This record gives sequence, structure tokens and C-alpha cells, in this order.
Amino acid sequence: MSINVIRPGLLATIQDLGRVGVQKYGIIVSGAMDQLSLRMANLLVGNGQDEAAIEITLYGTAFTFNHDHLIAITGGDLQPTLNDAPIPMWRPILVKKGSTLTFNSAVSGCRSYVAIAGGFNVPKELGSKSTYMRAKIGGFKGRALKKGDVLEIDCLSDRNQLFVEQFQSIHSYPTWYINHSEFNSFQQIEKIRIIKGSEYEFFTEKSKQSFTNDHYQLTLEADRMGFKFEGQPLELNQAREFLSEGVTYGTIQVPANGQPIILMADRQTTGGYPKIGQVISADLPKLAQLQPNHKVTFEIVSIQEAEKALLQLENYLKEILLGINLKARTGGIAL
Amino acid sequence: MNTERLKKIIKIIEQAQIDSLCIEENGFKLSYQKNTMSTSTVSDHMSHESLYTDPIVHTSENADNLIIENQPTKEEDVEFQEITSPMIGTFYSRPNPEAEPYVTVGSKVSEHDVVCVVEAMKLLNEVSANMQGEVVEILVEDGQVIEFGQPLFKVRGSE
Repeated sequence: MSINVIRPGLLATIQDLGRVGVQKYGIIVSGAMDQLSLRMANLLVGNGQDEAAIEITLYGTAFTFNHDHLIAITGGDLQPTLNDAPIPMWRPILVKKGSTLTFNSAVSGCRSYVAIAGGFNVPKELGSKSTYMRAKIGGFKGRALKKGDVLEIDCLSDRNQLFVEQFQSIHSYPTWYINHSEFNSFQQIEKIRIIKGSEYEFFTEKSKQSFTNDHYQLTLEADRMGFKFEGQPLELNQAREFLSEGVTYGTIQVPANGQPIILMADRQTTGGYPKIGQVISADLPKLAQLQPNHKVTFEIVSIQEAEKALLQLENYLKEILLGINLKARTGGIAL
Repeated sequence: MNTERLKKIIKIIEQAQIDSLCIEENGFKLSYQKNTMSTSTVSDHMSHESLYTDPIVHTSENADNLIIENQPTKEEDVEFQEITSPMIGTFYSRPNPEAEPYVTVGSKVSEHDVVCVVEAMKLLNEVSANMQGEVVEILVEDGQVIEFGQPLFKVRGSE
């Protein structure tokens, strides 16, 4: 069982939930930019939520399937087509051997995820299948997908098998799909909730005002490592030097030019720029789906609110899992 | 007879293996027919007009005016049909908050057209028209919790 890459598009990589636990050796985490969409794609095909999927960026990627497969597409809407006919997202889809799946151009969001029942048969490096392109480890040969690559699919688990059987009986596509709009949205102006960073108090009052009242626009310098924004410059109330310390997904750094940078999935492990804020975990999926030139407004919330939002997100995923179990009639067969 | 009690009785009837039922209590009369070809009504002082315009359970301050109408009758109102909910859940008229509604009053629908979605367990279930015609009334609101079999749209049928 395998799929062929006909066109890699702008950027397509294999990503799971990341290479955690090795940042102390300077190894970056990587993983899916929009982890919520990745997890939901996996749920739809009966995989574990941490299974690797293909992350497709903006446009142009195309695959053919060498066997019948159960797949699910989530994330940004890149107008996917199957054999040139539009196919719906956020639901399980059985694709026939020889079919071609194409991602055209992004109408909303920036990144789509394609999960496949069984998952990708690539070796785990340091505990993860995620592609770390700069170090050339993980994923498919440590790099972005190229034309002609053949991606092997793992054997189906009992649960995968059950999903395939259940959805085989459906005439075309299932008539249900995930209500993704609670934590994923694909707006041109997103409200991103943050908590204050450790150096927040060192910024001038004017900067603090601008930070939460003005729009910041995502520049073209936006990749898997970090998003550079443009807006009212943020200034420190006096020149200071900071020791480098640990940074994480969503850390908002402000270099000397005053334009904020948000660290993303392929972020470095430490940083020395002052940190004005930290994006709350529940809003990272929205952030990850921003297209260049789209804007954000930042809203400061308390740690308690941030935790509450994250718990809501996890409960929401649990409910989706239960709902899908009912649809797939999994009975007692767990992940 | 209050609405809650009435709902309970109807639920029991629906689950039971009976086709019709007649109850009389303190001048209150309830007759229930399961067959889709006939009307289920509750009345004692019932206005003829409201019987055919009000969907499902209609209540007013006065319990005497309780009216239930599940299906169009054989004799009258053949012109109108109702699209009912296949499940319990939350009604949404559009696939996501940013999208246009699937249908509005005046929309022409045919059998396989999706007319709305019903959310349960964070999954959105598409509801098909299963009939051909024109939507003349939307009987529920966005975000409203709906029950199995509840009428959602009134449709003027066309052959």
C-alpha cells in the first residue's frame, strides 16, 4: 500500500505531533503547525491522534493512490479535488485505487492535512515521524516531498479496518462532518488570545497600548519556524540585554526593530529577544492557518482563561471522538 | 393537562406498539393516530384554521388551546409538506458560521439537496430535502435544539 507524489506543490511534509522531550539537546520540536486539524484528520480515519499526516501548504500538491484507501482532509480549504471533482473536507472518504487527489489554491486558511488510515510507514526518529527539514531528519528522508516519491502506508489496525468497512457501505461520501468552527477559523483578521510574556512590563505604555489595540499584519516572512508581523513598533522603556531562555510554540518575541515575531512549529529551542506575550495553546490552530497579509489583533487573557480554553478544546476533541465512534460503530474497539 | 405531561404521553405512545389512542380526562380529549396519513390532534376548543398552520406542539397560556399537528392531512393542505429532522441535535442553516445558508424561503429544493445541518457530538449531519418543491417557511431558528421528527421546513410540493 502506497501513494505517489505527482506534484509536491509549494511545500508538503510529513508531520505528527512533534519531537518532544529532546529540546534539551537542541533538537527542535517540529510537528504539524495546526495540530488540532491533524488530530481531527486522524480521528476521522480511525488512527491514533498522534499519527503522522501530510501537511500541505497553500497550493499545488497532488498524489495518486496505488490502492483503495480511507483518507480525511482537514485544515485550510485548498480546494481539494479527487479526479478533478471537488471533494468535501472534514469527513472520512474512501478513495479508489488509481485516484488522484489534487490541492488547488487556498480559499481559506493556509495548511491542509491529509490523514490516511494506517498512517505513513516512515521510521520514527527520536520518537517522531515529523520532518525536521533543516537537520534533515524524520518524515520522508528528512525532507519535503518531491515529485516521484512513493510513500508507504502502514498496515491497518483493527480500528482502521472497522472504519473502512463501515464507510464502504456508504454510497458516496458520509453526510456528516466535524464542526470545526469552534477552535479553527479561517478569517482574514483573527483575534488571537495571549498571556503576558515575561518581559511584558519592560515595554513602554504606548507600545503596550498598540500591542492590544492595533492590527498586526503577517508579512511574507512566515514559515514553519516563525511568523514575522508588521505594525506599530513595540519599544522597550530602556535598553536592556536579556539572557537566552527557553521558548515555545506561540512565544511572541520582539527584536530591536520593534516588529513582533511569533515562534511556530519549527522554532529554535531558546531565544534572547524580549518576550511581550505568549499565544494561548487553544488559539495556535487559528494562528497556524493565517495567510501572509492577513491580520491579527492580540487580546490579553489570564492564565486561568488560557487553561480553561485548552480544557474546552480537549473536551471538544473527546466529544468528536465519541461522535465518530458512534458513526463508525466501533463498539468496544478503542484506539 | 400541561405541556410536559402531554409530551410524556406522546413519547410513550411513540415508543409503544400501538397505532391509535384516545384519552378523555376532565373535559380534555386527546386522540392520537400514528399513521402518517392522518392527523394527530389534541383539542377541545380547537380552531380549525390553526390546526393546519401550526407545526408540532403549539402552546398558549390556556391549556385548552393545545394543538398538535405533525403531518399534513389527507383532505387538506396536500400542497404543503414538511422536512423533518432525522435526529436530535442543534439546527444550523449553514455549513459554517461564515457560509451562506443552504436554503432560504423561496429556494427550490429537490430530493438530494442538503437543506440544513444538525449538530450532535460536534458532528454536523446533513439533512436532505427528500422531496421536491419550494421552501415556504423555515420553522426553526439557527442554534435551536431540535428533536427527532420535528418539522424544520415547510415546502410547497411540486411534481
